[in-house]
Amino acid sequence: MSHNASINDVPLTSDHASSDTQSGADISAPKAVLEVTGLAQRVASGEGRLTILEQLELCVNAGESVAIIGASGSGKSTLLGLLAGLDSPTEGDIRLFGTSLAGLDEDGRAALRAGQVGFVFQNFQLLPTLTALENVLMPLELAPQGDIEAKARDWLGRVGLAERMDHLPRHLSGGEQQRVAIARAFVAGPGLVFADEPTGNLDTATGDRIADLLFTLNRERGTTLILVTHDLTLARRCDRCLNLEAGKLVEWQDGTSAPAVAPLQGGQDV
Amino acid sequence: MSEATATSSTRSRRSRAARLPLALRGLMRDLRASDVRALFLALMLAVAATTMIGFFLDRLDRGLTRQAGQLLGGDLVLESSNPLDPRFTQAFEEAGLTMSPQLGIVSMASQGDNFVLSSLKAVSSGYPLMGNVELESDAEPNAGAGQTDAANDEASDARAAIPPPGEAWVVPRLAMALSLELGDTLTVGRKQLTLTGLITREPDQQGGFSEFSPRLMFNMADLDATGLIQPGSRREYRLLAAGDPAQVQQAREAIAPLLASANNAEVRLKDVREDRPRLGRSLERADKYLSLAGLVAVLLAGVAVAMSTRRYVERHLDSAALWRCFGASQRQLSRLFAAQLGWLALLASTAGAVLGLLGQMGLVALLERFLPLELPAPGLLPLALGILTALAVLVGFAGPMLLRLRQVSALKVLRRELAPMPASAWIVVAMASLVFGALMWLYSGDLVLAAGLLVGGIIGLGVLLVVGHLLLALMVRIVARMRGQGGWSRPIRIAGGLLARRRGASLGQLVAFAVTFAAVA
Repeated sequence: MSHNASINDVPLTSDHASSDTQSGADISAPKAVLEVTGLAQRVASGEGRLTILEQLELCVNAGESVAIIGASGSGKSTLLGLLAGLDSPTEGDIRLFGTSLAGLDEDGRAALRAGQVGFVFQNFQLLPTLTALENVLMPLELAPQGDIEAKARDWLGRVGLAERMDHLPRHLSGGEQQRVAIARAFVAGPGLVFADEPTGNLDTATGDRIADLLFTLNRERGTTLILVTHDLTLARRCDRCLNLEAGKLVEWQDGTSAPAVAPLQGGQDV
Repeated sequence: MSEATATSSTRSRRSRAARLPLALRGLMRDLRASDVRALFLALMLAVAATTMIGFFLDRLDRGLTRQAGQLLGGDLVLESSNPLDPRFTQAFEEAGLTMSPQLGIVSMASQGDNFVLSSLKAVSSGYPLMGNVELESDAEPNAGAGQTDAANDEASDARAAIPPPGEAWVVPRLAMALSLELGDTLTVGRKQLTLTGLITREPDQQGGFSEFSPRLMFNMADLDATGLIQPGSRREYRLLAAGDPAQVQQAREAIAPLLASANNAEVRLKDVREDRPRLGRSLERADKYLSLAGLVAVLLAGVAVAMSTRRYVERHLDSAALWRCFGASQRQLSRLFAAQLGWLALLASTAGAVLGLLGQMGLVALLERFLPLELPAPGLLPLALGILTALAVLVGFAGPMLLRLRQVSALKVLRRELAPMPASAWIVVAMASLVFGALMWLYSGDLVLAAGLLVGGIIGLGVLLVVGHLLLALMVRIVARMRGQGGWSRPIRIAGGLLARRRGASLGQLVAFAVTFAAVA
């Protein structure tokens, strides 16, 4: 993706789906992991109802990496929450792995996420009383299959923390904590990983290394990645980049200028 | 140990840990947090205090019951001046009680020209149902005062030891009055009996008028030969019965209509529970007092549990949201946290029960010199009560707050401010009061006392809240007047401002400290 960018309108179907999708996937007809139709989110505010998202359409195919960029307060986190089934929209439907979230309650949406969806957060979200190993074990412990501890240990080794498994988060640096969080996101073998500002709390050098790790693992595992970020450099590493502006998603394509709401230079936050 | 071996050993330990249930694994990890350790300690101390007192009182209660049983001669005793209705015997038999009929009569015993008014007791096989007859001449059944339950059980053969037909046992006072020695003969009514035992101690001494006369005990088989049963003679027919509490209860219910009938108007029923010695009543009051003292420990632990639980819940809101993200349902979360706290209660109860057991041993050792009776070994009931107390304290003082964890939304991982509303203070206080009231009733056995204390406590709490509210309002005014002043008033102003901003939490802490100090005082 070039630094010259332009903003195109929806529909945001996935013409850019990468061909190196999950092993076994039908390359000629990429399978949609996430489909969004007519999505709107409005919340009550002091002066009536505030529209955060409006008539949003999106389709993300298996193995794709999609960046969602936008200014602070543009609704990126709200959108991420809706896409992951953490919240329900006011209007529209989201189909995750082919299942509509509209008919599911919170428990039903949780069941759909189990083992299929991984998360990486800006503030790592590691539990402070658990060691690195125990934090990585968490997603496996709900429905343990096989030697889950060996699996968690293996993933910590992959992210370069083989020697720090028994350390509590407070004894790890920010970069190390995010590595643990990445291991936790991938350990259950999810088909889809949501990353919310994964480098937002890290310095540039550490952020780059974390981004390398995230994209390497994503490529190796053929996982679908949806990344919310302020960081255009990070966003450019994705197959597609979507800008959230005035409640609508518009595609930011290679060769167009940077969106006004996003950093003009890579690595700088708005 | 080589590094490889150490690593292998660590992995092996981890694998073993991984096989534990998720809730227990979670609890073991959670013990790193101070709030969980505080919860554990609070529950353990509550159980230790209640089981220590419980074990002690249980031993005291059973010791008293045994002593009362020995004094009475059985769990149930029927007395009548006329021969007892055979239906009583039938009812006791059907209930499975062991029985021993006896006859008491005040009459003269003589040897040569010496006559002494004696309290005669004709006994039959099975006597005594409880305790032992101790004789100077026979050291075998003479286990002595202060024997333990085990010793009593071992000496149970001696219960069958009654004077054989043709023989009599008397207290040394009577032997002296009649100038008798072992092997001499004495006359009771028309029957001559050989003295073969000097009674130093016997059960079922009733302490009535007949006890002023010295005891003479002989076999029921000799009764007719004495010719003492005549119209107008002062006699008392007694039927002693013993069994377990269920059998005794069944027998009591079976004979109730018989006792109510006009034919048995003069029959008196004595019950080991109702005819305890005066000493027992004093100890019963001490029992109640100690039980309530134990509840003070429970109240203190309850306050500590409530405060620790608040921190526990706050800390677990994030983990609950993460679990929801990873796919846990509300039910799974509820089960997980309930099981985790269940394990905590179980482990704390076990540790507390062990402490309580050791504590009561120390208590008995301290009070041994002052206790008028030998205590039997502790039973298991206080242990069950201790565990029940721990669970009740956990549910009562922590339950409503724990419900917040169930209500956590997965969205909290993205929006940290989305914590569920704290449980209503009214619900927390109401639940804790309800459970504490039930525990007071359980331990005191006195509903009026428990209700009185509970209502009094709630009124006190209300007064405390009003006073606390007024004090905070006053403090806010004082702090407002200090505005603009520097120096020494600055820290007071800041502290006052903090307390005023978090008025609810400040009042909660004020109440917690006040309850704690009141309980300690």
